[in-house]
Amino acid sequence: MSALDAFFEGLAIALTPEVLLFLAVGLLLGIILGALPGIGSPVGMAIVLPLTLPLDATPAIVLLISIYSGAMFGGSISAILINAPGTESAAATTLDGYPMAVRGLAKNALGIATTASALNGFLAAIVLVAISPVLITVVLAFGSPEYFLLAILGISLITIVTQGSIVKGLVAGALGFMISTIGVAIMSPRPRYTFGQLGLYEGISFVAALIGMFAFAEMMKIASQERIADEAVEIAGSLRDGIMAVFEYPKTTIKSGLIGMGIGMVPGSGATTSTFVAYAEEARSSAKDGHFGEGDPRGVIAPEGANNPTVSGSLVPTLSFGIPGSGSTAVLLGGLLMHGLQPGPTLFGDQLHITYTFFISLFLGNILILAVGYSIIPYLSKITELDTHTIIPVVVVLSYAGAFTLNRNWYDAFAVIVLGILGYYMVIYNYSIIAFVLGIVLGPIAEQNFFRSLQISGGSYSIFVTEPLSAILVLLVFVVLFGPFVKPYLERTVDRFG
Amino acid sequence: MLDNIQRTLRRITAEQVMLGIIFVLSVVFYLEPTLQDYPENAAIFPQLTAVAVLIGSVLLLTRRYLPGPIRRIVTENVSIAQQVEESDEAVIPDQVEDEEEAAPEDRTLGATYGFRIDNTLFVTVTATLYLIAGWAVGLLYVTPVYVLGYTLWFRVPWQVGVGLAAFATIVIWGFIRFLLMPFDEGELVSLMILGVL
Repeated sequence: MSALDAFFEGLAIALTPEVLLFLAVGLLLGIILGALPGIGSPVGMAIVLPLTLPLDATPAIVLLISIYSGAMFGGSISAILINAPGTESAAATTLDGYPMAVRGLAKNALGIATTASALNGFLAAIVLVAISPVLITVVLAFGSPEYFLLAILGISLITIVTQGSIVKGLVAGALGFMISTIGVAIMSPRPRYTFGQLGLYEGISFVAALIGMFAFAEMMKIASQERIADEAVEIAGSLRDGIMAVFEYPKTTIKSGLIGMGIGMVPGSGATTSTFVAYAEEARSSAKDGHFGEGDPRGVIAPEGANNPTVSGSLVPTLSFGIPGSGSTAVLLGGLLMHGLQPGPTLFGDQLHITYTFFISLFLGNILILAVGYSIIPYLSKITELDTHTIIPVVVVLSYAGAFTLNRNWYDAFAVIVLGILGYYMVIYNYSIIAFVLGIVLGPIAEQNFFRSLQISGGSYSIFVTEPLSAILVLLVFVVLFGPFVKPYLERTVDRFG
Repeated sequence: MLDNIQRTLRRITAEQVMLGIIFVLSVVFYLEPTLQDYPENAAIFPQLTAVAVLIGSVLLLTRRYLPGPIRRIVTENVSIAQQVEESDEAVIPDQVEDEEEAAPEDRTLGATYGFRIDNTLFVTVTATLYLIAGWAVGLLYVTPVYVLGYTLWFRVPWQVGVGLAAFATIVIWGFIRFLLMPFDEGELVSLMILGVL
């Protein structure tokens, strides 16, 4: 099937009533969940993930992607109205969005957020479709050693990009790999670490781990909060002026979109990084006439223009190499694997039409964000009046029921608690839970490719450095892990001789 | 002697407990394949990852006593875009302090009777008990009790609490009806009926 045929087949699937329905439901759900500080897209996606089991793969993944996309916009609602970003990626929006709301320009800020987010998301989805033929070539160049090394590189990158102690990140990732080995071994029918418990033969479900790490741990964290917003929020200003502001600064809008998409493509990075980089770049380039931090519209355009393109960008490493860039894409990767879709050559070969369906849904979703976003702006303050204690018991009930449903296994439900408590403390002590989750999700893939590589080489580890591509990946792992420590010494040496 | 032990125990942080558990786990994961004679292709990968976890957890547990350059690699925050930043260790006490300062006024049902418990602990304990009870007698029967009890404790208006309990129960019923999940059966009850217990 040619790429063009696959595109039209993907278009036909994306326009079926079933897929469109899940797209709309996902977006609405994403906007609402994204607007609730502490909930956000990873939690929402993790809870919804087991509920997609009865669905076909395509509508299920479209639902997850649309929750992700909707939450990107939803996160800006609470960032602007109550100075509490619904998602980490909306943190940069608070810098100028909230001052605008305080000055009576909440509608303007929300209009900017809706327009910039949807417009750039729309453009990024087109770019994604356009560059997919190049991706196909790149993906097909990877073999077993490269896939194993990519998993290692992904965890290393997450350790660095999310910032924090490098050893903590690596311990988190390796622990995830280790937990993933519970159950029947991949390369032989030998049960491992089951200690005679039949319920552990299938291992700890990575979806249960995702629910525990994101949903349960987050509920433990927000339990100490009361109402999301203490005071009622008044939504004043002009929506029309907000929409026009995006078109008054076309350079800012397009530049932020490119930054968002570019950073989203880097495995291990996410919208939190891209929105702050876009904001910082705008503040730098408009330093002369800007009033950043005081309610400058460009301070909202930049992060909001970057967040949705990051979703498109992050699909590149997630779908092509199975390396997610954030908690949300880790859950998305979990969804792909749960529904039998293997990231990599298949998704860009025989199943290319499914990949195009995701890209086109993203494109359609951004049109829907505009329509939904504009129509619900007057009612948004209601979301922020919710009591966290009405959310927690419902999330707990859904988490257990969802985890059990995966394999009809109580061990999965208990894993939600154990890994939830672990996730809570990991967050408090600055261990990367994304690296841990990535370890659990990628563990079986990494192990399988590790063994395949050894089988190919007759047991020699040199296979990981002899091929040019794998040697580059090994070098990248070293640069990523040791670069920040070596860099100052190199700079000092250059200064001395320069 | 006893005082010294108590003082040492008081100095142990939650992070050290977490790392201790991770360390023990990694030892088990390393030794189990050898003790149980796993085939080579089932043993290598988990043992390699266990070694990585073991070394990392030991480094983190002993970071205060490590020589300068190694300590720097273990403790300091790094970023691909920036240079090495301040130590991790300096951040944690501040975070804990902030959390303590930000603790909201206790308005729970227990507080009115002079019984105070940390909200996070309450959520964790009740959620664990709910799952154990759900496993034992069936999630369908304990869900309304859990949701009502939870909302009552946090003084959520009773109408909202009843609505949420009804919603959660309907969700569980939906799992039974449409996904054929046995949430109306308890494992403990089943074992008792079968005469195992």
